Amino acid sequence: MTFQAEKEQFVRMARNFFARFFENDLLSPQADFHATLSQALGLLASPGLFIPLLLLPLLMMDAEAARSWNIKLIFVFFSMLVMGVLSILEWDALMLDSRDQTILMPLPVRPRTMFAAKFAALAVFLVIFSVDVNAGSILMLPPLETQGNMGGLANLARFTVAHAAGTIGASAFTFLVIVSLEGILINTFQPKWFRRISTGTQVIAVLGMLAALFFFPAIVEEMPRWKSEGASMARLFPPMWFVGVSEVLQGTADPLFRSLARMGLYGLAAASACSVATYAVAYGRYTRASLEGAVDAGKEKSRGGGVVREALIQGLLRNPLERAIFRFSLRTMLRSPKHRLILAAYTGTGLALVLEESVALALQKGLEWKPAQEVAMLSLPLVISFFLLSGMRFIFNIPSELSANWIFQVTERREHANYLAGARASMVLLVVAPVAAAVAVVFSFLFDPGTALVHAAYCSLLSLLLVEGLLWRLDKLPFTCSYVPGRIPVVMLLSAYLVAFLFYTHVMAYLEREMLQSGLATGISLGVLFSAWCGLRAYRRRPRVKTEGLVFQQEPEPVVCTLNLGN
Amino acid sequence: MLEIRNVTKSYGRLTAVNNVSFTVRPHEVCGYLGPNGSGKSTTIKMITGMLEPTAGRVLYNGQDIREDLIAYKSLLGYVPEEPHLYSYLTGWEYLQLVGELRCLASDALERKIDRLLRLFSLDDYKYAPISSYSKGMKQKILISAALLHNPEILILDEPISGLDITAGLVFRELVARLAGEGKTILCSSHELSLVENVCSEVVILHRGRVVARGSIEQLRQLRNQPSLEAVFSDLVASDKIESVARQMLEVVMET
Repeated sequence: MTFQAEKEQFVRMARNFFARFFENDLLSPQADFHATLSQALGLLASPGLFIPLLLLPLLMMDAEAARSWNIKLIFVFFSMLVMGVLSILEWDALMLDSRDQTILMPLPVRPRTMFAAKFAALAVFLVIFSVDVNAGSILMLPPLETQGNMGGLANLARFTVAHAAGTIGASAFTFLVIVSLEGILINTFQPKWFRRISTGTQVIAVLGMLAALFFFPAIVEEMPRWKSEGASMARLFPPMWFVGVSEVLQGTADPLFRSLARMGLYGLAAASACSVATYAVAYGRYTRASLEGAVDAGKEKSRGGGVVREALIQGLLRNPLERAIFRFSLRTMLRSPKHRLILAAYTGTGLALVLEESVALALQKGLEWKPAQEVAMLSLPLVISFFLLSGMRFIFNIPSELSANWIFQVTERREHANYLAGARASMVLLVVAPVAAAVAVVFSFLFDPGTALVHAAYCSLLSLLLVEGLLWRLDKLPFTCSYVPGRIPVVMLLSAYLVAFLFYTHVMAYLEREMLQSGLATGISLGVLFSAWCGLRAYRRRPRVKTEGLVFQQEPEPVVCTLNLGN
Repeated sequence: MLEIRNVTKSYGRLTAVNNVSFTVRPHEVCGYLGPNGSGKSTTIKMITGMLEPTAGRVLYNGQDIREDLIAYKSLLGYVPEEPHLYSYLTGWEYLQLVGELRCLASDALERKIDRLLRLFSLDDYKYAPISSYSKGMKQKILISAALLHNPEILILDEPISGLDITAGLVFRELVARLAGEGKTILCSSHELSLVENVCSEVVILHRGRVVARGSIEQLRQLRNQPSLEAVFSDLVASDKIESVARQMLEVVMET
């Protein structure tokens, strides 16, 4: 094969591999590649644009503030966070998948050309998105830093280069660490275990990043103190390494920043070397494993656990349709990486809020603090159940293997309420019941057993009401209907979520605190909540003359809405 | 009796199925043949109730299926052309899902699943995810899912696609026996040996229209051809086969 022919193969494959990064189950298969790329670039560039705009009033008044390393830390942190989330979402596309191999292996393409093309696509992805994520701050921050007496084009250029090096270096470091991590996992585990572990790793990474996001304001606040006191904490926080890079390029003489910058450069070099080495070895191993992929015989679940679980399901869910939807929902949430990842993001947000609230309570009250029935304390389980339930409701909308939904269509029965009872049962059995049990146990230690039981009952009734609200007028089965994003405007949706969240967690926790003051108030409140739940159930189950069929295809809003005046 | 009466399906200006009529009786296996893109799968989707005809009706025992589609679906077993299955479920779990959606009793369902999987030689793989199955194994799961509830009507779209020879022969025998039990069976296939061996009636579709209908013997006599394959070629390909093959060879040999 001539060098020219090989070069053409390389370019064509690299383009194809790059396009594969944008093939996502959440995107329409008919979506135009260029439109998808533009949307992705726009979306990822937006935090970098909005943060400087939000800080603009402060920075325009105070050039010193604009030049401070705390501001740089915000941009570096966001750069790492966005790139981290993006890399986790692209986890499966980082390696050559079995479809690529099935198509390419029989063709006269050298493995080294294929490897080089895949690696080049990764490099292009890294460069384009690192620049895109940080473009807003690179363009907007240096002019603010050099305003007033720091003017001059040379200075502006120096600050721009310094800021670009810090933020793009941070993005690249995050991406390379994740590529290395995937490479290490592939090289360490058997393919079957790699698939299982990689999903767990993705979930943990998302949880970690969300927790970091929520703790970031506290970290920024504490960082000056850590920096002045021996600096070991500053060294443990990688975004500070790249703040160091930026500071050094701007000409700082601070020895700590020089040391942090060295750590950043060493870290970047180590991540690059590790990613290239592990990727090269993992690539061959992964390719062989997916080509050799024999049928995995699987194994029967352990008899004891299986029997108990089955008896529970059969006992609690008497109708086969209810059981079918419950099992299908549970298995989809556990095994579909896309759904699991989205649910992990919701769970992570809830856990991070709870953790932040708990740490704040502990710091505020000191070591001698005895837990009391405070609003912040009482709201913790409500925060968790809110995020878990709304996360589940959201992923119910997202189809799983849509083309396989024909089986629900050809087996459709009249008892629609039983299908929807299955969806409801999955929320109650997987969230409401475990949260209530955890509340009863944990709060028994914090308060007394009686109060803990009342708290568990209160949280359960509120959660049941939330389930009813979330599933109100649901006319489709979980994971089986096509999804048209953006039917409800994002601002309206977020506002509704915020109001519901504050009401459900804080207003209701406040009312609970008042309720716990007297036994009579407790009885009345629990009775009211229980009656409200019973009322909603009775309304939902009322006999209806005609029920609509289940929906399997969600239609987008028409481009032009007519007034139907012709009829 | 399943009756397809003057059924038409149009997508804008394109008419995929044009005024198609035929009947399938109990104890009968009706073969539904036609070249790619002739409208077979579209007709089958209308017969299963997944698509609504633009014109015409599908009747079962004299009643329009759309009058009580859900009752009709409970009598129906369907093997689709493409093996679209939930790949993260195991074979056993998929059949359990289908059985529960059909409201079958748990004990009987589990016994039935185990027996079907054993008879289809899938016993060793019943706890493996469907994503790791071969095409033939997926096809066996589809066939098992269609038969779980002992349906009155069976609609089979390319049922033996991907099956190994033994499984194909077993399936052929099974279809004949199911017809003997009084099932109403429509079978669309490119495998003419299957059609010749199990179908009592054949309907041939070409460009959305029925071009022939009758028993295999009647069609052979009518077209004066020695076999069903020759009848099919005569009706839908005429003398084009040799010419197309010659032209394709020319393309292949081009430098």
